[in-house]
Amino acid sequence: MNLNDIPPGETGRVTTITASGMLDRRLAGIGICRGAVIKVIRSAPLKDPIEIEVEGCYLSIRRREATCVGMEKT
Amino acid sequence: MKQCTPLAALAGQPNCGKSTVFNALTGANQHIANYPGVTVEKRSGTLSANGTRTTLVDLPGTYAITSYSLEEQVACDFLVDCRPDLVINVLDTTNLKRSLPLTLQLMELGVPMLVNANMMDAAEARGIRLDTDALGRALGLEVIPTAIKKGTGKDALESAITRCMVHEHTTADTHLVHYGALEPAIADLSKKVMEMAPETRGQGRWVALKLLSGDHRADTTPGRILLQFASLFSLADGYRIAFRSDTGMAPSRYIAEKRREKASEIAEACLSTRTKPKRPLSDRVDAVVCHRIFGPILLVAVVWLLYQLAIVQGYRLTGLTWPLLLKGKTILTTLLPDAGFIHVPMARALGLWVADSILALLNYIPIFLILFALIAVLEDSGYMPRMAFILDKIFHRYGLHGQSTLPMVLGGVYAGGCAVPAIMSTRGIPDDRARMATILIIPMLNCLAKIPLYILLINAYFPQHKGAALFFISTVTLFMVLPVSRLLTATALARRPVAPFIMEMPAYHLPRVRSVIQSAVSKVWLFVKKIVTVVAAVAVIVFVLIEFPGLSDERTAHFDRKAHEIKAAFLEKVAENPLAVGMTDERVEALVRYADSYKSARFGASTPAAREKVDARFTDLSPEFFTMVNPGKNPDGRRIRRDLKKLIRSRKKLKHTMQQEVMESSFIGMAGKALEPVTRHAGFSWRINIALLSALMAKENSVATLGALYQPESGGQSISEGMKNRERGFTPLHALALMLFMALYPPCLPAAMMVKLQTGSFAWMGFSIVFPAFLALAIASGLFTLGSVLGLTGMEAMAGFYLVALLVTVTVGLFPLRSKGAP
Repeated sequence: MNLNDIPPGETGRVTTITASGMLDRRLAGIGICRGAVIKVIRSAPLKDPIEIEVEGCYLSIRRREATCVGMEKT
Repeated sequence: MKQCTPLAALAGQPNCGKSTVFNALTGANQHIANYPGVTVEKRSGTLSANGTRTTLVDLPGTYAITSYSLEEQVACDFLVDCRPDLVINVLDTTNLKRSLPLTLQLMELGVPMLVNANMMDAAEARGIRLDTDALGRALGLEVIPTAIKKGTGKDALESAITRCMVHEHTTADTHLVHYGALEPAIADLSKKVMEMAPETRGQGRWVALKLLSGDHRADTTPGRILLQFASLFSLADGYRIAFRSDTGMAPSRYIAEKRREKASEIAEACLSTRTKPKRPLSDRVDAVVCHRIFGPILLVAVVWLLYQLAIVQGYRLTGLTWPLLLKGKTILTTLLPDAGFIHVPMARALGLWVADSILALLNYIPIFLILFALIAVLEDSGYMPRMAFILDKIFHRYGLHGQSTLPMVLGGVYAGGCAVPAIMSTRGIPDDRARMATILIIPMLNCLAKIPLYILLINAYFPQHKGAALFFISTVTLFMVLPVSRLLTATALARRPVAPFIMEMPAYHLPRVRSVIQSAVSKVWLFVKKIVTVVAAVAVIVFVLIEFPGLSDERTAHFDRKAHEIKAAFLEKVAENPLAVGMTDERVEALVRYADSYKSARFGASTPAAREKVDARFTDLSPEFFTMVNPGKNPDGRRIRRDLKKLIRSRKKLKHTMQQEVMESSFIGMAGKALEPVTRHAGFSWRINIALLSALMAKENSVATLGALYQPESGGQSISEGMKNRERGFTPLHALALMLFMALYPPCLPAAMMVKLQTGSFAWMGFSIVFPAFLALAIASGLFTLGSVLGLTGMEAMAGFYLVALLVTVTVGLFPLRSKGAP
């Protein structure tokens, strides 16, 4: 499963990251690394993008980009 | 590139309060420019403390200093090229774990460093306590705790900076992070780097890390810094591939995770959290602001309020400031040589033309002030990212970005906006391709200056359907720009770099009045400095195009004869009048001039007392003339005044005919006529071409020029009636084509200059002018030709066009955009 599959209000742990290039750097920059815990807060009114919480920080990410973050349920 | 005054740089992540620190340290001594060759903003200022002056540069906020975005590259280039004497790293104490990786990366550059743990107050409020001494020990650097927003710690920071500049500075330890299995490769590469460039700071370790991260293979071209080590690229690639096959992990990831591990280790050692961080208030607010139903409603309300306050109220405010500007012009008028009876001296004509061009722009300043202040409020409060969050899905489909919302609202998504602030506000869009697309479509929205022409045409040709026609032109632009944006994204912009939509949703803040005002004023100042000066220069060129080559000698003689005739007629009429004894040709001209200046002086005087003062001044100037222009009850004077009024009217008419002839035979007139074979398909006559050409400088000109061209025969007619009389056979279909042409019209000169500033390239500025011109002509011609062939009425063509535009927009939106640009 990936970040896209986690419903709002639930939390998961990062297992793999399949992104490359710019997206990979940005994910690393905001602290999305293996083992990081991500909580999905909500989807935008039109379902895309989603808002997530990583280490106390609130961020938005498009669903397409979220599919690059492999997750497991905590 | 060593500077004489010591140089310090502020580095930090986005939203760490870096700008607040910068403002606090430098106060009003700021200078905003762009980094050479790119559009990234460079803010620098002077910090004076204890008798030493330091130049402080605010680097762009970045999460890292890799080469994956322009900002990161600029920050890295600056740190390496300009060799600042001190780097001040601002940390967000509320989020230390995330702030530290950048610190660790900066340290690897081997620069003298000072750490500023900012937002201590906010951390305290969240129950986070930082042991600054422990952090200092862990990093081996001096750490200054501050809460700049509250005003605490500024002095300590200032004196620490001065101390570092003058006496001791601690150069950062480049080996703080241990990269385990990568270390042999790092050692080998850095040794080679030092052999090639022994002056490289930090023993070349950072170069080795950049090469192993694959920065030289980034989407953007590698910066100059890495290019000098091009001979090491293949060696580095070898190490990268080997590492990847050994561990199954990209070295860039590995490096990032190692830094992160170290950051967590340090953060855990020096933080003590008293309470569990509770769900912040902002998140509860967001439950409403980003709600599925309330969110969009609130968004529309905010946009409506922005439009109402800035455009509607701001426009009302210009009614108060315009007289002030006119006063300035009146003063200028008195300095210029006097106007002749019908001929205007060149210096006067040019002076007034340039003044008018500049005043037309300065007139927008009240609107801009309100607009920029409101944008600052939106930015500071944190609502801006929420707007982007709500609308990104729609905009993304058309190659735009959630953050295109604000620029499009400012540009006039409905009727009335201004492209200049709109293009200015695209700066924050992180995705380069979407930013370019936004910049290029903004001029095709309905700016304020396009409205007068719409109104003129609608009044003249759609009198029965005014509301519908206005609604059509106000909304159809959106359905034209969205497909155009998608088209540009797939073609001209396909190779521009894109960025992920990873955007921080910062906590809501109450905007501070001071920073809002500061932001608004500095942006208006930028506008005045960069735009108005250029406009003044170009106004001269346009003046030449409109006034030259001028009338032939024969026609000039003809007009002189006419002028003489009307003066002679006046003299004949007043011959019997006792007041007009000794009246000659020259005296008549002097009288007309006197009457002109009396009229404008009276116009400027708003109170009875002021009017009396004007009267007294003019009586002093010439008692005889005064009885003629303001006779009171004197019957002779009254008779003269009646004849004088007639004379002034005929002179005005004569001048107008002459101006019309000058314009028709001018370079612009010739161009208008030469273009007729092309524009005929859109239904434009050469007169309309002239009006459209004159609008290149500023769109308001189109109506003014039409006014001059369709000068009504009798006084009571409006321009639209004059136009209807002159252009026989001009139908609502013609008017519709003209309206659509105006909607897609190339940006006015100030907006084009803004495109240059924001894209950093004259080529894109040229494109932003040429592309809409062709598009506008194609659409206007297509509509007019098709409408004529099918025999459609104006309203039918309007409805048809609207449906087609809507259909295209919806269809295009159904297919999502591929996330990667064309290969």
